[in-house]
Amino acid sequence: MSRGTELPPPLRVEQALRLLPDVDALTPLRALLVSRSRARPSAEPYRTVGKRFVQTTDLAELVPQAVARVSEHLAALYQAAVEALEADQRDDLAAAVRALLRAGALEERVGRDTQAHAWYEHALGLAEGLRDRQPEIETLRHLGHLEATRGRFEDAARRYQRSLALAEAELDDDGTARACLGLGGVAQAQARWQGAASWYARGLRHAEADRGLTADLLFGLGDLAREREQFDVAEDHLGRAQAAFEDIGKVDGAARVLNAWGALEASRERRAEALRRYHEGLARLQGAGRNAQLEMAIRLNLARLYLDWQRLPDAEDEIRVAEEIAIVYNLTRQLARLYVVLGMVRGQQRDETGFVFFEKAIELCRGDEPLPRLEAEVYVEYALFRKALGEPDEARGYLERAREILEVVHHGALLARVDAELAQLALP
Amino acid sequence: MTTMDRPATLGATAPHGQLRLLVVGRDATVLRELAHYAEMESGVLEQVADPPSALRVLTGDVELAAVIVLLDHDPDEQLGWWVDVLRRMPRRPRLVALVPAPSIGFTLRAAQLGVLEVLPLPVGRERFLDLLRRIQAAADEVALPLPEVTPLGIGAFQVVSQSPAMMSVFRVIAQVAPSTATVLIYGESGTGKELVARAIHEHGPRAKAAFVAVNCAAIPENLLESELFGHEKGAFTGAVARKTGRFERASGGTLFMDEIGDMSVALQSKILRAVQEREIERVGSTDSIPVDVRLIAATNQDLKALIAQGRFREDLYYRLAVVTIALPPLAERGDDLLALTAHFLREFGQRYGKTFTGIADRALDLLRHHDWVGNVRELRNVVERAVLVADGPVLRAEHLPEEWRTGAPAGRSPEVPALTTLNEMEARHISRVLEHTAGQIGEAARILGVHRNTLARKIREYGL
Repeated sequence: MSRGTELPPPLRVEQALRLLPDVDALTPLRALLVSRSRARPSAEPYRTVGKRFVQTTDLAELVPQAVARVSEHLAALYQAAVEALEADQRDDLAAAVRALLRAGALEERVGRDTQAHAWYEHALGLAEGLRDRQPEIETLRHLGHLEATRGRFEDAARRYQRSLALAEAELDDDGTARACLGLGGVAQAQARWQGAASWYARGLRHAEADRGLTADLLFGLGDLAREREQFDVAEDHLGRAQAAFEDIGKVDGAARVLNAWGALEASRERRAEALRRYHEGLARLQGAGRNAQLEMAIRLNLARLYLDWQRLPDAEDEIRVAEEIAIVYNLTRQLARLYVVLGMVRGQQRDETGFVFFEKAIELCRGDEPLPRLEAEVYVEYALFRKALGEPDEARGYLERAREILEVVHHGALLARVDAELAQLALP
Repeated sequence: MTTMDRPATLGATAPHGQLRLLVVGRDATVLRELAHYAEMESGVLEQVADPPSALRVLTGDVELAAVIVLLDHDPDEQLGWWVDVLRRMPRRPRLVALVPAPSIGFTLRAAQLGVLEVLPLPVGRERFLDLLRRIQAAADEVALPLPEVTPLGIGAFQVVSQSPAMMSVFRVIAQVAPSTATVLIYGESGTGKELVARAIHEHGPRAKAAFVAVNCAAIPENLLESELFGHEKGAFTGAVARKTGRFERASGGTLFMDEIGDMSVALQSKILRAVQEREIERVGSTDSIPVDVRLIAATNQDLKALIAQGRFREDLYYRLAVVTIALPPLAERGDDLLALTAHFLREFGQRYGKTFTGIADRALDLLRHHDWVGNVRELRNVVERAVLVADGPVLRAEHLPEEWRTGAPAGRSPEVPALTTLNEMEARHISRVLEHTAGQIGEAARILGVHRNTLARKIREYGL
């Protein structure tokens, strides 16, 4: 073998994706192509995922990997489906439900939320016919979690409520506490602070026997108090949650607490302390098997910290590190959030071309699994970016677009903020 | 410590010339051993058990010369975390990794990340003393005064240069600015193409009108047309309001189109029409709008090669290349590097409330040996980051990117590799090729001229 001719020039990702038809069969290849793309070593201040490069000679090598990935995923789904059938044949429908839930979780893990939803709904149909209510309680919890992840909070709350009612009727403390945890999370995401606090507190009364669940609920209370700027209360709950997570050796939990604690210190403008907490959170995640989602959450907070601190190069560095992780692990939501922060960085630099990051974030929100709530959040920040650049008409247009979406997804808190911004723009 | 008698240095030393070190780890035997050696050499060695405790020390007031970490499990992942953390610390101590049996691959990766030294366990007295000498050498820096720089003002922007290569650029700018001729600027990314375009605008007949810049490579292709020509409200999904395009905004003034080689051929046709007919149409409208712009284009690509490949319109090229200016890369601008560094230090010093009077010899050495692929923009970014982390009036090597610092004392090129084994050389080369192919083994095997199974075996063997 001898060295051949020079490699042909690489393709931009946006160019490569345009060449591939947008059909289901190619989705894994498209995802792999993006995850294997790379940035040029030179600084490209406006680089988004579409502007990265992929070497055409790599594509042939990517095909077996893409096929293997699809095949592995399908095999796991088929196995779950076959297990469900076998369980049905031996009249163990509870096991059949569990197998279907496992399949749904597999789909959820790879970001195929619509497919996951279909598996869970199917499991629910089966579970509803059983005398034993535990499978139904569990299935409803899965659906609640999935709906919350998709930003469909009304649906999520409805599922958790039903799960709670069934668990209480069954005197199932664990099921009750878990449903309360879910309901607390949904209320918190909707800025219904009092309701969230009540749910977490109620969950705690049923979770005494389970240290892990207790820690999760304490974390919920701490994080909620942080959002409500009740800093002393937050510190107390987070400290207890941390101790509980440490006791049971739940590393991810401890890292989550540190992330919230960092945000707490950032709210108090104790930035060096916030920096230390975030880095400690990242340290905790070492050796625990990569939890890319949590790592991204911490890095996003780090980037926001640097942005508030006016350490814009550090913010950008952090975003670029996180961007690599988001692209490799196909974390679309987080990638969109990162681009919003990068757009905000450019906004602070009064750099008009920073609009490209908001546009990319919007495009990501409209992908295969639409993220309307996040899209509305992007529009709000985009509007503020335009407003700061002295473009009130465009700012108003984006706020109105955000408003339309928020009315559909019922996000009262953000809607109020949008209305306030619109009112301000209307002032002479 | 015998090597501690030296002139006043800028490094992290205790009052009596002792090096301050932090050791992080739980292995009592290793810690005892290191404490013993450090004591023998009058070093100040603090010990903590874990990263959280280390973070507390690092964010405190103590200035450390190095952090020595025991990486006993998942050394790659742990190392990444340490590099990440130390990079952001206000004072940036050097990192030393102690690993039970480091692979060549791990050692290479550590060197690429700027780790001062990777030592296998057990360390041993001689090796540790050698390490202390290297840390000491890294801490010994002499401050050189910053040169006075007189930048040329271009509106709100400034140009810093005394190099002959840039002087000839200035001459062309002076000749071409008074006309309305279209100009094509060639230059690598970050060489200051927009600044030159601004200079032409500011010294030309349209100086009082708008200068509008657009970076064609930055904007997604599907948005570029509306960005250039504008759009009507509702013309497409994202068109939330009527938008004036950059051509219209630049009317009467100058439109600077950067990275024009990245534009699609279809859009090139529309640009050509706008240039020839002096009118445009907003996306979603059929009304023609007259525009009068001076066009300045720039690229870092060989447009003639793109024409040969059918990726750039020849007629547009000749419209744009009435006058061409080639900007030299930073590497060819000689002492401009120091002048620009001094200029940016003062600029960012003012922004972040810090004053700089000097630059350490070792820092200057590192700056001079860097490749500067991103040219002046990269230098500006590097200096801004350095200013953010600097805590005194002198720019020091530790303020520069971690991966630049190999631990070589000032005066020795960081690029000169130490004498090494054949295996290490082979591992280094394989690592370099793999980096080039983004980890594609097949492609790397083709370049190296070996079978992919052979390459896969060597990758395993060296832990790459």
